[in-house]
Amino acid sequence: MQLMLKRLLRLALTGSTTVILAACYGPPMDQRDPYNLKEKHLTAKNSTGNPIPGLRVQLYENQNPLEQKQTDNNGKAFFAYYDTGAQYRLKVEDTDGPANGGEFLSQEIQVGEVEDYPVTLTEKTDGV
Amino acid sequence: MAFERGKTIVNRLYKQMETREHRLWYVFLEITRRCNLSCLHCGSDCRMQPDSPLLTTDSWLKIIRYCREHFGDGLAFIITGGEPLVHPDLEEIGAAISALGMRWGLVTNGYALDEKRLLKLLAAGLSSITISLDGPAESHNRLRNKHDAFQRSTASIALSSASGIKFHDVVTCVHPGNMHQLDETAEILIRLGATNWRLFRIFPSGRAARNPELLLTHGQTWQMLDWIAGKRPHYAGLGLNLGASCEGYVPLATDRTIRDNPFFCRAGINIASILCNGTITGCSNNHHSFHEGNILRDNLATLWEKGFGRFRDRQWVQHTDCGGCEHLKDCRGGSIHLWEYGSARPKFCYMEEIHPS
Repeated sequence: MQLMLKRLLRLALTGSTTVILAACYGPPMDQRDPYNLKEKHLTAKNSTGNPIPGLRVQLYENQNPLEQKQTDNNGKAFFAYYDTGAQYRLKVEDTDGPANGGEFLSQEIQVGEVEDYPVTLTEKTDGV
Repeated sequence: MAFERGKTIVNRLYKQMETREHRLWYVFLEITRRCNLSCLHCGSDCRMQPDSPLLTTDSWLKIIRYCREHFGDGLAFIITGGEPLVHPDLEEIGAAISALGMRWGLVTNGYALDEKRLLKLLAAGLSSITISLDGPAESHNRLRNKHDAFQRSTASIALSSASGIKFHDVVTCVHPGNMHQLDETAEILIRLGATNWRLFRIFPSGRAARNPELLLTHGQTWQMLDWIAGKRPHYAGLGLNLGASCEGYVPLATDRTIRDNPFFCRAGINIASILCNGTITGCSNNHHSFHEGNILRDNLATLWEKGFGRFRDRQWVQHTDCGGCEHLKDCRGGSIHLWEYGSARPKFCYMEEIHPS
């Protein structure tokens, strides 16, 4: 309740709920707001519905890499981050060749409000 | 008029709530007092060889782990000095912060920052950087006491601007000798790709106190603020967000024309500093009369909760020359770094020309 009120007061004062602080000679930093903590779950499967482990999944904030994970044996990767109002996307890449049951094409997913992102990757074929 | 009064009341309420909650989230780590320059205006009196013992890298790593455990992952660490780039373990310290899910930024003169070093810092999770530029070449080199300081600083600004670091800005210490060069400096920054620029007065401490010709008078300070207010829209249109530093209370209607966030000294409210000898205080430039303890003997979490009273409760300001001031309710004594605790008046006031005792 107090946090919500503070956000409203800030909005009235500065037009934004985000606190960006640059104290004395210190560089600017935005305050992590617990209300903006987001959780995103990615599940990667192949065309037959089997999970794909060992994929590299990179979360981007605008153009900047934020965090990198690998899918587990169930094809899952989990991210928790503080949403600063930027654009977020996930890039899924197969970087270990056929070791995880095939070679798959990369895919990018725009991150929105939902928490779960099921993704089906297409296997590379000759000529692709 | 009623609109401004309403905003002032909202601002007061917001500051009261923040002060009551006092959530720590911005922590200066002064990892060294060593410096590769010897600037005429240095507030710390930094030098090549420090004369006091420093915390070891292991101590800094322990402090970082302790902070994560007691204050959560919302903390952001600001690594400062001296010049942090001369510390041999800077990347190790930064990487330790990132590994615990926290963020860190760097304050640097830019002299030792080249592409190779920047890549190492980015790999260690650097997410914010402030670089100093005090005017065109001759002006910057004179103040920085080094013939190639401008060349190196501008090169580092260009690198950081192109690096994709989330927050990057440039700070300029304004003094009577570079006041007339602000437009020229802005043009240099735009050419370098800088997008954020903060202007400071030089503060009379450390080596700067021995160079009084570098200090802006009250009138010159307002010339600087007027220049910022007048030029902000112009430079915003050219992609450069220009603003005054966080220092000093001015009425809200003026405040909104010179910076993005209204004046609020968060030292001891959201900001703490650990100096290179373990001293705990609010901002790293606070006078020693505002030192609250030492990390080598005090529990920071307990100190943060039970200490820092003078930072949060400004009743003591009423017993100084500021006691009868019409602005006191909103100013609350202004920035802590402008005070020596126990003195009759601050070292500088934006609203009234004063002469320090």
